[in-house]
Amino acid sequence: MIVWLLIAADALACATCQDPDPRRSAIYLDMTVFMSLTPLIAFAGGGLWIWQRTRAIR
Amino acid sequence: MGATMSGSGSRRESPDLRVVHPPPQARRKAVPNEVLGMMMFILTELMLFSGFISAFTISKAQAPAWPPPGQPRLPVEATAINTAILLASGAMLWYAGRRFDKVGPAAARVPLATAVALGLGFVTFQGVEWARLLGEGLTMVGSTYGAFFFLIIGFHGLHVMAGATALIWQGTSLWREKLTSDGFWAGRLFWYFVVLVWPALYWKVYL
Amino acid sequence: MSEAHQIDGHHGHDAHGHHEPTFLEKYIFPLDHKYIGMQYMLTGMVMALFGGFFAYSFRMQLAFPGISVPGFGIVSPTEYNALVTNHGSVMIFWVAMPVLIAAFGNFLIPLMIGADDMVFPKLNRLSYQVFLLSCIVLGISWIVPGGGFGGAWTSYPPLSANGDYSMTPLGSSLWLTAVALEFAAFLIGGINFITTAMNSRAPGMKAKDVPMTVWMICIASIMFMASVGPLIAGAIMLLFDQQLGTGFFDWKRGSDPVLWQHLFWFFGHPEVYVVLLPATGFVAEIITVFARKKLFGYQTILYTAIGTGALSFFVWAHHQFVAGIDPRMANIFTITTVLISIPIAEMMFLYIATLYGGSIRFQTPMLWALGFIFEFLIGGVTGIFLGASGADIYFHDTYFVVAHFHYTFFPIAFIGTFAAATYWFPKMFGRMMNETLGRIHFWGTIIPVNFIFIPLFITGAAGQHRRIYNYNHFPDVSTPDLQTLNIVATVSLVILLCFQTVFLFNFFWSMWRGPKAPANPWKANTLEWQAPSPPPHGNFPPDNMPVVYRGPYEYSVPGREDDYWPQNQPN
Repeated sequence: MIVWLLIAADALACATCQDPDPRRSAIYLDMTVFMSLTPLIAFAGGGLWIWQRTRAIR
Repeated sequence: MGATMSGSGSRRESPDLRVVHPPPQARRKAVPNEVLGMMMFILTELMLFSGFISAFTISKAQAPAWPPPGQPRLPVEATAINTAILLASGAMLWYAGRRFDKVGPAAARVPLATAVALGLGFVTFQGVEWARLLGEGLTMVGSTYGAFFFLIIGFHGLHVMAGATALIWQGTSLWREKLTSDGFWAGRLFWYFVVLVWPALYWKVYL
Repeated sequence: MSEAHQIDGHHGHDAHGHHEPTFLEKYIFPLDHKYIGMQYMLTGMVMALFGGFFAYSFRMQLAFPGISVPGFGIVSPTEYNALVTNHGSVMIFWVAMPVLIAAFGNFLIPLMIGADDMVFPKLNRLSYQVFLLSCIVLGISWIVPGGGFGGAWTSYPPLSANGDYSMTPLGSSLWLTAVALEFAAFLIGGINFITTAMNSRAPGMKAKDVPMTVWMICIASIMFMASVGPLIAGAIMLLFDQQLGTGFFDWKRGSDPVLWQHLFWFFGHPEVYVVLLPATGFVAEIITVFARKKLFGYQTILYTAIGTGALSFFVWAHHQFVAGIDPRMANIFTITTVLISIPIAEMMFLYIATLYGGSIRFQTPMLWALGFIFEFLIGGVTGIFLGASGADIYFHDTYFVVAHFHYTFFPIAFIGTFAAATYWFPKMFGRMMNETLGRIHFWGTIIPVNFIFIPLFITGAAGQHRRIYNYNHFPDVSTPDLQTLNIVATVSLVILLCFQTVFLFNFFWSMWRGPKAPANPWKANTLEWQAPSPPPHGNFPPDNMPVVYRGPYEYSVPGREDDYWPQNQPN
């Protein structure tokens, strides 16, 4: 949060080269979140399963 | 293992040097080698298809009309039946795995053969649909719409064929009674991935 | 434990029916993880020579525009682009990855966890063969008509998608194919590393008794496998654009070229941490041994590595601050980018804390490890300038960026490798390297590298753009001062390259002529030093495989006669 406040509002992205299409930029944002979370969820799921099995054989 | 390692130095400030530890027991594997390797491979495959789907969603979102005018519609209803065929194949393979572990390798033969047959039926059905769509003028070069369709669905088709080949190969070793439980597990996992990723692709690409 | 026997029964090292492997079996098509690791290492060294030569050629052009570069000739604009592109690709994909992960991962993981081999030896061999094929395809791409690919290692469309723009229709497709093959090779290798580290550990080796190097290589492999999929997807799409004429990245047909940047950097940024983590693992190993002190904060280092791995999936869009993205995204990615410096900085602090109060021995591997911390911190600190989107708009695509990522990649790919190579050389070849030559090489590398990249920070901050062939065409950014800095950088590069011959001589001379190494020359705890030097096939005596009683970093334990305590000694 503190980091967030430190960023000047005008400096968030290049004003002249910003994506002019709000619909496309919104879908990019969605895809960004999807792509970032997928590997983490997949790995967390697999890791949890392996951890449970490790517990079970002890 | 835990009990014998209670004095492990990495978690202790001043180890007692006089204690003679009994030798630790042999390791038991939480997950068999083949299954663990296959899980890592499936993680990569999952991300491969995520990449395709992301690219598709973004291209679709910025197109003025989807599908573009003048391009054929995709066979939604026919493919719904095909989806059911593939899901049935996955369920049959799950049953084969259950029979293999609970009853014995021989009991898995019929369900495995059924699962492979259903999978091959899915690919054949897709091939027929592809031929029809190509005849109607849907090509990779013609539009991004067609390009993504053949890319994503084609890649999935390749995976189905690879998975079916792997299962046929495992089937031959099952008949020769050489198939291990772990190896069959890994093969099944790949097929489950192929089956379960399909509804997501169907939802995104067809609907 | 002896999984290799089951998978590859005929090649086991049992006493009965053991056949001596022929030359071909031992060195050309080996199943032994140590020889596969050395194959990777030697291939990586050859590729590093190519990458260094490319850097030399285009830096000479930048410092002295238009001259006939000795050994290359006059550099044309197309050749310049091909040289820059292939320098980047070779150094990252064919030097850093194979040497740091594949070579040391193959060599060290089974030895460090007390196993006799990888769990899938044949997959391991296949991995190297696919990698070698990718090297050959890349080499072919340099000599086909039109020359090597010149669209930068990031290969942004539309420049890369259309043969009319890039003017290298064959070179760009071969480059993409080579990259895809290389990924396939590391995919196979990574599966092997993780499975081996999970399932083949010596009895008694619990998760927190695993040496940091093994942890780091495994985390890096997982990150690689989780991030490489989208790039493979993008590479296939780009290849179709190039060869079939589809329009996946063609704005004229309503697609978005920025999409490729997302797919590329989704892999490209975790990739930085994929190569960083193994290098930090080697450094952790070396500083504990040479400071004779327990690694400070083993668990914290492990968690920072995992945290870095998780966060690295949330930072990639900081490469696209000026490419036209949603401002909300720039906000999020600035924050995550600044956040990711926290775990890495913490890791570096823990390494420095490990040094505190230790009885430090300044031998060559330790010099390299300390050099790594010093140089990498410069790279990390300058990264904060670029991570903040406001500053990045100014610095984007200048030599400041080039200097920043060379200050991260040079410590990772070269300083880390030299540290590891000098440290594990006795184990690899059973002979010691020459200490004096090692020190000459260290100082001959570490001083020029700063004189290469500190001038580039200045030229970049002064506004020199990084993709310019000849600055004489841009009078406002080619003042004599800046040109002097460019000449300093280039001359330092030549000095740096000259000093690498010292290393090559030391490496190959010591391999055959060096003094014989004892099994544990550095008095280290980890299991690889408890095997003979060099380890035989199967690493440990088959009837006396190691069992583990404690963590890997028990140095200078009070009350013990020796200041080290090998993991496999009962007491």
